[in-house]
Amino acid sequence: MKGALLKNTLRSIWRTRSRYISILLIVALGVGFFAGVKASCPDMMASTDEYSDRQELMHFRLVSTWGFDSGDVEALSAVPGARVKPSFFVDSVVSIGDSRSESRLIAYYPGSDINRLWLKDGRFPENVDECVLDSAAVTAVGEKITVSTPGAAEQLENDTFTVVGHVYTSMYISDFEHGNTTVGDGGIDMIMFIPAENFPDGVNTEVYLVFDDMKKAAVYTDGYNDLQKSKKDYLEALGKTLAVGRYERTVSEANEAVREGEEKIRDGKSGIADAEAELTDAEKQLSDGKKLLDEAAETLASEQEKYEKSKEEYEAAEAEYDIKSAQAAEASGALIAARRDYAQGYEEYTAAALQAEKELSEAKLQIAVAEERLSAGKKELDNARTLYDAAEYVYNEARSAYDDILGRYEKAMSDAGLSEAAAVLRERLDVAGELLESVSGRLDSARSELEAREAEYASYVSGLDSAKKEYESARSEADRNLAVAEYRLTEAKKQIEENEELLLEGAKQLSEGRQTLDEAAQLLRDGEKALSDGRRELAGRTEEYEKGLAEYNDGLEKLREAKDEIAAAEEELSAQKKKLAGLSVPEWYVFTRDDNGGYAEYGENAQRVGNIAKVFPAFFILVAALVCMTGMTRMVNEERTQIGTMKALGYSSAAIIGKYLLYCLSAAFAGCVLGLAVGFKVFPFVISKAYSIMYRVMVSSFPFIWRDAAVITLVSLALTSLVVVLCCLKVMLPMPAVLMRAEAPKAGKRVFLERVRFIWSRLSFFRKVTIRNVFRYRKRMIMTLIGIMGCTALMLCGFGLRDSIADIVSKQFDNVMLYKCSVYAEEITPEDRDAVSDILRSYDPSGRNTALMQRSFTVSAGSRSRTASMMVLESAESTEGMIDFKSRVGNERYELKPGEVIISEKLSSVLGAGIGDKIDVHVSETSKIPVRIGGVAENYIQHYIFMLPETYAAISSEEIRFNTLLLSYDLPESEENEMAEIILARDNILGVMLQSYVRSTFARMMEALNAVVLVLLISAVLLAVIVLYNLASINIAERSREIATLEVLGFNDAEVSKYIFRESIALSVIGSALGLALGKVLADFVIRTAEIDLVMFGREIHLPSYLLAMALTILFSLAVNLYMTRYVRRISMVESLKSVD
Amino acid sequence: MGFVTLDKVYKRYRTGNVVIEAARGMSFDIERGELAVIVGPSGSGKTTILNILGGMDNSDEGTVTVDGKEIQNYSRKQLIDYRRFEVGFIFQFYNLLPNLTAAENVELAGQITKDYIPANVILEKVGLGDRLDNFPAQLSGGEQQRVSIARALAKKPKLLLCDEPTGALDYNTGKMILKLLQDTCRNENMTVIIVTHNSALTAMADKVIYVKSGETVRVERNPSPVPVERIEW
Repeated sequence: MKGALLKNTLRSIWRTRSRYISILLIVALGVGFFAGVKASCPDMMASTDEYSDRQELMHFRLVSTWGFDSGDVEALSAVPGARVKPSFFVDSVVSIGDSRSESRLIAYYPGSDINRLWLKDGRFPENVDECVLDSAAVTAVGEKITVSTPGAAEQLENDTFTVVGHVYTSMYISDFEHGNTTVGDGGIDMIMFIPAENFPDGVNTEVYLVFDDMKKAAVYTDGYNDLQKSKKDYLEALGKTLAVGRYERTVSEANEAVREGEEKIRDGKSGIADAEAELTDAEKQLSDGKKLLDEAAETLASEQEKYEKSKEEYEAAEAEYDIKSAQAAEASGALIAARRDYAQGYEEYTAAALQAEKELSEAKLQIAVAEERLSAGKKELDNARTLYDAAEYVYNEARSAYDDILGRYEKAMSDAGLSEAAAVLRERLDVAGELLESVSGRLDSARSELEAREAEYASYVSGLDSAKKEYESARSEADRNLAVAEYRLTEAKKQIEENEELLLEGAKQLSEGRQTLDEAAQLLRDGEKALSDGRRELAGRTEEYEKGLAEYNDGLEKLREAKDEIAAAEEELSAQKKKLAGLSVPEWYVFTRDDNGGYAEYGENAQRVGNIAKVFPAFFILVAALVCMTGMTRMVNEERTQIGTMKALGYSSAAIIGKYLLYCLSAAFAGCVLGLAVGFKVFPFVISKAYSIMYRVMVSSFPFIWRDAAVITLVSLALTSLVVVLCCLKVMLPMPAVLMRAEAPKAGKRVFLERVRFIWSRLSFFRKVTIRNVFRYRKRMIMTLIGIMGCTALMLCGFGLRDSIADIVSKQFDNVMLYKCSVYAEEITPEDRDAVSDILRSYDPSGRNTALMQRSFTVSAGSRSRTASMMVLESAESTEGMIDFKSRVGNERYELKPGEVIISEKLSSVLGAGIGDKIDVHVSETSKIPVRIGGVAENYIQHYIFMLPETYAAISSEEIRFNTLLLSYDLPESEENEMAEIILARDNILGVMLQSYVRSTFARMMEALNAVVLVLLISAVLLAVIVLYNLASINIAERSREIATLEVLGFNDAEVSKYIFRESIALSVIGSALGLALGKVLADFVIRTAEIDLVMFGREIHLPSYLLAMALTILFSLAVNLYMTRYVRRISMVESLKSVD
Repeated sequence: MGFVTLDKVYKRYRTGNVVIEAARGMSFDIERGELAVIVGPSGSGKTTILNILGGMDNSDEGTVTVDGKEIQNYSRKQLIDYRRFEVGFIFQFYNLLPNLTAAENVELAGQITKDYIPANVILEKVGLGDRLDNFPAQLSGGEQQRVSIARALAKKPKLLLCDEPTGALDYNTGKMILKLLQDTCRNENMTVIIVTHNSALTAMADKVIYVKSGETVRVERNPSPVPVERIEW
């Protein structure tokens, strides 16, 4: 393509980007939906294939009526291309706490390269008493499981296993289907893997085979099935050959054994005679022994007595010793107290003595001072006396002198002539008188001095006396105090001495007591020894005796046994002979992966999704083509003049078409890329997510399938090219001149309705206009209708799917299974039943119950088979109000008749057998019995066969054992739970299942399917938006002139929009109404195909869903139109009316 | 002050950086009941003026008065009402809705006003009494333009605006249409403004407004308008 043309194309794309994008998106939607849904089926299958191969899932599982011996295994190993894994399994009822369930125990080999396990949680078993469970098991890690079927428990090394983990196993991908068994209720609930060491060596119970060439083939494909068929035939043939060989070998071995047995019996009989003789001897020995025994017993008794006595003595001594010991302890206590008192007294004494001494020395000091003073006083006194004496002498002297003079004077005086002499003497007398006077004064002062000294001295003497007195008193005080303290001290000391004495005494007594005690103990020990000797002796003799007795009894027993044995041996021999005569050749069963629960169903489910892929996408592709068609037509028309110009310029038609091809193909290609990228991932993911409710396929493989992608892309591009060429042809053929001229607007036309005057005349003006406009643009009308119809149909389909999913639960529990609770036991005894009904009545006086027997069986019709739950009722009326047998369509009620069964609707449809047909009930793996279907009852969850006891008796040799009670009542939830607990507390009751619980569990599970609903709704909305937007934009573009005219006339925005979009709305209403019809058909198909095997979806779409689908569609239509009014407003009157296009 | 008055009206169009002045201060008066012809070469701004008068476009400057109301500042909503009740518009290419019959096209206008002339009456008046139920595609150009005129008149507008009403018609048909417009003006006392590049039409007008390059070159009163029959071009 030339540069200019390319540029022109790119500009066109940019200018009309919304159209370009809408083409891109619708192609993406169509392609994505198609690719996604189409890939879902192969993706599901591939996931399973990958998962199986990764886990090395066996291709064949062989089971033989005789098991497989080493010869069989060797022969199988020689099969070319086969990897062989001999293994073990056993089915058993197991108990977990109070509840019981049926389990298949399969040998676990660590690191096995066939049927590998995928750890979900916990760990693999390490010890022989550990096990892992399949992922669906509810038993938690750490719980213990006990094998309770006797046959199984005997076979195994352990009968109790601790759960250490859960595993995913590709052998059982379904959570609900684990196959059937002959133990318990017949349905395997749980798979346990236990260490292989638990199984006895020797004959294996099953053998797994993996073929490398089958691994290469994808499972569920024809290639795989063909390989499987040929291998199976080969193995079956091999089995026959080996079986015959083994049979012959066994028969000859058995014959040999019979011969040996007969011989043994003969030997045995002769042995019995010998034994009888031996026994007689033994009897005699025994009576001797008895005598010895009695003697020993007697001795023992006397010893015992002695022992008792010495024991008593010992105890007395012990008591005494205890008393003494207590006394000693008391004395010791007293001593300590006394010592403490003494120490205290001594301290006090010392203190008092110290104090007294201090006081005394002070007093002595005072005395010394007083003495000193006294001696000083004395000295002074002596001085004073000396002085006085001296003064007295002087005085005396003076006196005598005076007296002498006086005498002379007086003489002189008398001698009167002597007067002179008398005067001289007078003078001398005066002088002497004066002297005498002064001496007398001095004497007086000396005397007073002396007197003062004498007084002082006297006071000193008295002071000394008082000091001495004080000292004396202090001394006597101190002496008294000390004497008191000393007394106390002495007292304390005396006490100590007393106590010490007491203690000494006590100690002595104690040691004496000890000695007595030791002696007593010695005595006791001696006694004990004697006693134990005696006992030992007695025991020895008893043992001997008992041994003798046992031997004797043994001998007797053995004799009896030997007799019995011989009898048994004879019996067995004859039985063996009989059995040998009736022995049949062992038979091999070759099981394939399809025989694993759920494996084949998963394939069927994948196929079902594949079926959906065949319908939906066609629809989307049709819409995509229509969107392209209208878009391109519009584009070509818009560029009519341009095309004419280009043609006039000499461009070839091919070049011009090329532009539109480039435009449309690039959009379509981008759409394909987008659609494939999203579709290949999203749809398979959502669908496998939905199926993961039931199936544990642990590998999700959503490959980008290049082949499909290429085919889809090529087809889309081819289709788009075709559309483009068809659109262009119209403008390619005319001459350029014609093209350059404006295309005449489409002429108006009357519509059919106008002929119906009656209606037409009643319509308003705008209604008429709308109707005429609708029919004016026929292509667009059809397009719109298809788009709207598709949208409504998809939504209805989505809502319908949701309804039917919701209905499963509500209908199953509100219309079909009306009972409220089921009670399980190994067997419901009449007492159990009475007890349960008493409990029930105490809660709800009008509560009722019925018993039934529930077992799981495989049923088949022709080549189709399913596992169904067989319910044997008490009588035809017993379940009235608990289980409703009626047809879904027409509500016809069925009555259970002898010889007939009522089966659930889904079972009927999967088996392809209806009322009056016969189905086979597989009573055991090898025998099946046909029964007639008397009714096909509405039922949504699980497959059921209901029958009367008479019917059951006819098909099975087993006795009927009712194991389930159905209860119906009307109670609030709390009381219901309480009642359930009380019932469950009964010993015999294994389980109580509340329907309310089942209901909520199931409802939760089913919610996962809402993902599918969401996908449908989103697709529907996308579809509607793209189509409506596309059409509305074309509508506006094509009618811009008309719109401008209306605006010029003075129509306001609302009126213009109404005028333009009235058609869209009308078409939305019509389209969605038609869409509801289409949706109903589509939903029916989708529901039927999407159904899971065990579950029947509701078949009804509820009224609100119809209304909602329609309302939503119209709402989207309105929303898109509302959005488009912006573009209406944007139209310029002046521009639109200026030129003619 | 006339019935329609333009006073220094400017209109500018902006395309990118270029500003084009389509009207550069145009001024003129038209009296009630007058038949005015605006004449000028293409690009002279005559259609711009008509669009402004028709309420399809706003002026940028100046005043536009119609029947005493200034419309230059009308909001979008007011303009819708103005178009709805005040003016009738006639286009060169008729702009009939192809999916509606003649009568329905006229009724379309009637649907949005309260006071309107019934379709059959007005179509009878424009001489199409027997073509009521024909679709536009079944009518000739002249007939279609007559339907267009009938549609404009049905609303009883105060002002009839005609944009090159004869541009797509042949000579005789054109004359018939012009006659119809002149008669309407005379008989109904309708104010009619015709925009044309054909100066021959000036003879039939009461007032002729010559425009050129967005300006009013001259406004002439024609004291003796000629009946359309006598005009030749």
